[in-house]
Amino acid sequence: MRRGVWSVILSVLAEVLEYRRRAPGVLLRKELVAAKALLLVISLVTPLSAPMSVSLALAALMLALLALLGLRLSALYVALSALLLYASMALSAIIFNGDMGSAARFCLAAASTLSAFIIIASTTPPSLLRRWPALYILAVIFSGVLREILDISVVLKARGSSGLRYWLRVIVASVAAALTRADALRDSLSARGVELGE
Amino acid sequence: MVLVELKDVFVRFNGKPVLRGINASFERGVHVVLGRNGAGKTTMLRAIAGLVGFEGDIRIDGRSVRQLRRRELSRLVGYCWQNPYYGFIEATVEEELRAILDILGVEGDWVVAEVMVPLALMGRDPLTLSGGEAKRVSLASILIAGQPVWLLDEPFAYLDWDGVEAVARLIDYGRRRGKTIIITLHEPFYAELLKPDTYLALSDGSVVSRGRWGELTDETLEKVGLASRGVVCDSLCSGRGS
Repeated sequence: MRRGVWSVILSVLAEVLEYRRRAPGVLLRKELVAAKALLLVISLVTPLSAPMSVSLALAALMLALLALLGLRLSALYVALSALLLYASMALSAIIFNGDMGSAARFCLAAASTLSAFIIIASTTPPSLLRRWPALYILAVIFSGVLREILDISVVLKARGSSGLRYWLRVIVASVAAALTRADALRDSLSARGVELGE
Repeated sequence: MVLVELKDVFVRFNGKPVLRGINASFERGVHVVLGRNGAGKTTMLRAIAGLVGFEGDIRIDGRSVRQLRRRELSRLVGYCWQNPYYGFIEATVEEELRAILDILGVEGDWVVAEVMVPLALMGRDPLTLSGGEAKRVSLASILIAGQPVWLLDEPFAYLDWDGVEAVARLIDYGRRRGKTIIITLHEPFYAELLKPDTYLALSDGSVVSRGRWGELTDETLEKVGLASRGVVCDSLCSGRGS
């Protein structure tokens, strides 16, 4: 079960990276960056402030948008993880006499925000963020680290790692590789004239 | 005219000296820096590119590296690192090539891309390229900005013979355009292809010897721990019969 969850997460990462290459040109336009940022804000704020029916509709809309764009595995992942999260929170609410409504709102916020984040990550190559140096650097490092995690999982599998030890190694090696990668990207960006400060 | 000048340059990592008082100057033309692994070649290039802290003085076209802003320095110096995959920052090869042009706000020299990058690669994700393809893209993604100084760290690593010839053509193009090209190599075979103007031999962070390329002797190569021309020739000739 645990292995299945991790495999799905890795597959979602791969889908995000792969989608960047096949995304329709219209989604990669610079003019859409502001709209995407607005989408992220709406997906976070609405479930916390609007009526439950609106929040539910928004979460469903975001999932439909993911599926419509062709990010079906991501849509499935968001839906399943929101349901699992809700199940565990609802159970806690029942046991500890908590507020079921708040638990539902939290899960809807998580689902719609995660959907928005996946849409942004899949359709926003770092080059679109060059006007905002801090965001640009973060996007470059984020993309590099995603790739690093996928590469490391393949390498460890090829070396025969499996089970819990495999996933622990993926996590530990990914953190180490992410730091190395961030350092190498610092050089790469500096050599291209990006001011990174000390 | 001297474009790159190093005066008494020291670099230390965790207190350990990696470069020890390097003095060198490079005019327009092709210059090779030879030395075994760990001799300090990459660190020297990184110091010139302002990517590593150093003591002493490094000047590019008379201007101190320390006083140049990052963008000004990148317009003057094209630093190409050894491992191509670690430098990629964009989703496609075309975006990778355009990145430096957008950042520096320059038109760029697309001849560099024509020489190095086959058109078929333009839409590919750089991280999915083969080693040789990645190296070609990596070199072009920096040098396309048309800097007057090129720093090439082991530019022939990862390349097949087509790639080697492409890099040799690129270096020849740079030479004809009057660039100052400094190339690190850990074995002198490729240098023979390039017919460099000068050499600088490094060992343990110090300059062991420097001069015109024609003056480089087998003794110098052996002194810095590299295979001499005599050894290479002997190996090739004796291997042919077996």
